[in-house]
Amino acid sequence: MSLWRRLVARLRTVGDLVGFFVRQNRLFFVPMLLVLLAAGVLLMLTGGLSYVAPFVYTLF
Amino acid sequence: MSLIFGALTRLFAPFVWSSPRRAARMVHGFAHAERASVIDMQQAARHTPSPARAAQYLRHAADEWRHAQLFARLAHKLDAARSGPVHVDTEHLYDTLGEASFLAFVHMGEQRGRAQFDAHLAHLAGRAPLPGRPRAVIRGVLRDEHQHAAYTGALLDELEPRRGGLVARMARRQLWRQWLRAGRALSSGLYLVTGGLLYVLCAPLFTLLRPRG
Amino acid sequence: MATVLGVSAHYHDAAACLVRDGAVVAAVQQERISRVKNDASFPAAAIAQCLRIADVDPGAIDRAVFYEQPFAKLERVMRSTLTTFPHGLSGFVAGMARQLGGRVFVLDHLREHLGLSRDQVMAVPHHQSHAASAYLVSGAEPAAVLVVDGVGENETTSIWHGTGGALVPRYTQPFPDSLGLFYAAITAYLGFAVNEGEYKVMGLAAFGQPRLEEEFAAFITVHDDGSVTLDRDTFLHMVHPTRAFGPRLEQRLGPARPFGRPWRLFDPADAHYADVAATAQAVLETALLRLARTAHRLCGDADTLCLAGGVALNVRAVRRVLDEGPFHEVFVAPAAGDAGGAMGAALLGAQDLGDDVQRPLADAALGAPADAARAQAVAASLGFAVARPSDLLGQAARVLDDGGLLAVCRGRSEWGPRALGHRSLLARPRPAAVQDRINAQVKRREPFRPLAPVTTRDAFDGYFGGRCDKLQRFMTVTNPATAKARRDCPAALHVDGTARAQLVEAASDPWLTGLLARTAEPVLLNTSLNAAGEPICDAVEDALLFLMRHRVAALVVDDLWIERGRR
Repeated sequence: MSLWRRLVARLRTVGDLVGFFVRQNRLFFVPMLLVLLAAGVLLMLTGGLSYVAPFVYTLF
Repeated sequence: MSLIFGALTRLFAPFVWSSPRRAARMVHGFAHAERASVIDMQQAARHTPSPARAAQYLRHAADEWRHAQLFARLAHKLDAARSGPVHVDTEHLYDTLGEASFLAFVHMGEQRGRAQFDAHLAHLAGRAPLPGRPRAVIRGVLRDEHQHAAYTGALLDELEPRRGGLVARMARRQLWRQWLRAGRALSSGLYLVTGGLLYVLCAPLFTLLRPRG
Repeated sequence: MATVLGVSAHYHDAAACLVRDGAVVAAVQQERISRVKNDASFPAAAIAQCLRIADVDPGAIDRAVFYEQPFAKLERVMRSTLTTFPHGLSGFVAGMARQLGGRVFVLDHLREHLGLSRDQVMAVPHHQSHAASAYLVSGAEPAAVLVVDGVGENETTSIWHGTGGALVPRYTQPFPDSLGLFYAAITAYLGFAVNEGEYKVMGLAAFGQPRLEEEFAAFITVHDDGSVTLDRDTFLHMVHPTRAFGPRLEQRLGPARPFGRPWRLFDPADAHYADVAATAQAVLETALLRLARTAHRLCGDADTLCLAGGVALNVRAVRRVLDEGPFHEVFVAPAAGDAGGAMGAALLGAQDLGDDVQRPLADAALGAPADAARAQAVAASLGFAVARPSDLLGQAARVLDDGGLLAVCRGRSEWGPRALGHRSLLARPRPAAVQDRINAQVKRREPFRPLAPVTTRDAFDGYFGGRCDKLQRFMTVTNPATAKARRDCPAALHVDGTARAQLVEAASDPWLTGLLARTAEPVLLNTSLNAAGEPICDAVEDALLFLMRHRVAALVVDDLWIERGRR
């Protein structure tokens, strides 16, 4: 699957996520989510997750 | 590349071995790496079409398993507190790289390991003995590393007679991994600051959501 | 008539399960292939294995179903960490990194991996997946279904009424009050790894006395309906990503036991920790029993209780529910933990597409078959002696009767945490020292860890008391041992005089029943084929590596007899 199609799919998921929080009446979570998603892009590209969260309990 | 690793190890060895805690942390890291290697070799044994190579990978895995145990015990002897669980992970190297590149990767890893262990042995020579006899442990492991480098080199010649390109590609991959590691440190720092700031700024408002009673 | 893939991942025990035309055709846990214990990563290898077993092309999949709803999970992580300011800081940062770094995109990942369209991939609630994994394969109709685990999206306990193939929710307990997380915190306090050491706590409990009820009452209350209330200042799972308990637990129970310290059960300090385990176990059993009564009240027409979720793996508690609870029958699926969620998700997906998915699970052998030809070739390359004996069962029985350990890798691998004779290490279960020998030399684990017996239906009642029903097929309950068992199989009994016995029948496993007919006694010790800290062997290469590293007499791969020494 092309990078472009993947990106579009991810953006649709972000849209769905925002919609989910809106429906749950949790509008105030949305800006925070978007900032963290933006900050997370670099983290994902470098595979840095294991640094921020080396071993996280299954509930997080 | 193994020369660089050897030189860096020689540079840092006095610092690492000056404290049993630091030494234990490093040796625990060795145990972790050896356990991860068991998994890589086991996966390779499972996937290679050649039963003969599968047998060699299994022998290699058995050695790495023994090394992991030796290093874990040594870490514990150097510092009794250093006995946490060894979380292992795998990068699915065989699946990702294919057999020839996997072998090149392992071969280079063994050479790097040899250079590092040689440097540690050189540092420990003539010094007061440490708990757990690290010199004896490292010397024993080093013997196996020589054998591993030799057989992976021979297999590599068999699978990829013109292995120069492959080795260069794996060397570049290793550099890229190091570069990513640096990038990770940067991006995770950035994320920690962003996440922490967001939390401190916004969370007090959310305490209003806390269930009453 | 659909082909549906169920997937669990990202928390613990990632797995895949393939259901075709309503029947489970393959189920594989990722750890068995990746060889990373409790591997939670996206189960690409397990998916590939399931497709290979069923000879299905990814393009033939009608639907893929994930075992929980990622957005609801994210919402709970945000809510629980943000409302616990300032303690939730580390949980928030680590949790959000994990969630936004991949977990919320898991359905995209599934789509891309399988080449499916957006409407072919769906997610179902975590506890519903668990409930389906038990009810739909139990053969019970109607049934009460009790799910107890750490936490799903937001539920920690739920009760469902299973009727006509549908699951109707009747009761839930929300996060953070969680019986599973309470037990996990005690597991961490006792120096064991969470999600792995819970079995050890259960084993250790038999060495202690539940005399710390007063201390426990300060941080956990078990209500009449079985729900629990946890003290928020004692347990940290709501706020901290890596710590399960805070200093208050140590103020109540004394300092936590360091990880990895060797156990000396007759030392007063370790005797205290055994008492902690015994009290935790007693609290868990009380709560589970009360929950079973609540389930009975809420699902009045049900005679059977289906149990699922990680807590259902607590075989001692299951015994109490069976003996003292209001149900005639109890069923626990072979993979009651998160891996089982993959099966539940697949069944729910198939049901949604119109398939009849309600059929009893006859066998847990749902993994890949052993490849004897490959084993022969690799073993020969290793210089091992490989033979195809004309009387393999007789040879195996002789080795076992002489006190040898026999590694077995035959047929399809088992689904769930129990080795049921397909990927097993077998031994004669006497003298009692055999248990210490296996624990110390092979498993390299704590001396209090029990090993399990396997026997036939004809012999079962001679060795074990208590009812013998479906639970023993998958080793999901304990039975009290008789005097004969204490004499004939002491190495397979726990210190409390019980055993997690497996019942094997000729119809489902003629090889093992045949072997039991040839050994001196019709009972054997059966433990999983794995080295310390590793998942159970799956492929023949894993079994050969086991043979290389351990002092066992031989390895049986289907009809092959493999020994380390060259013949």
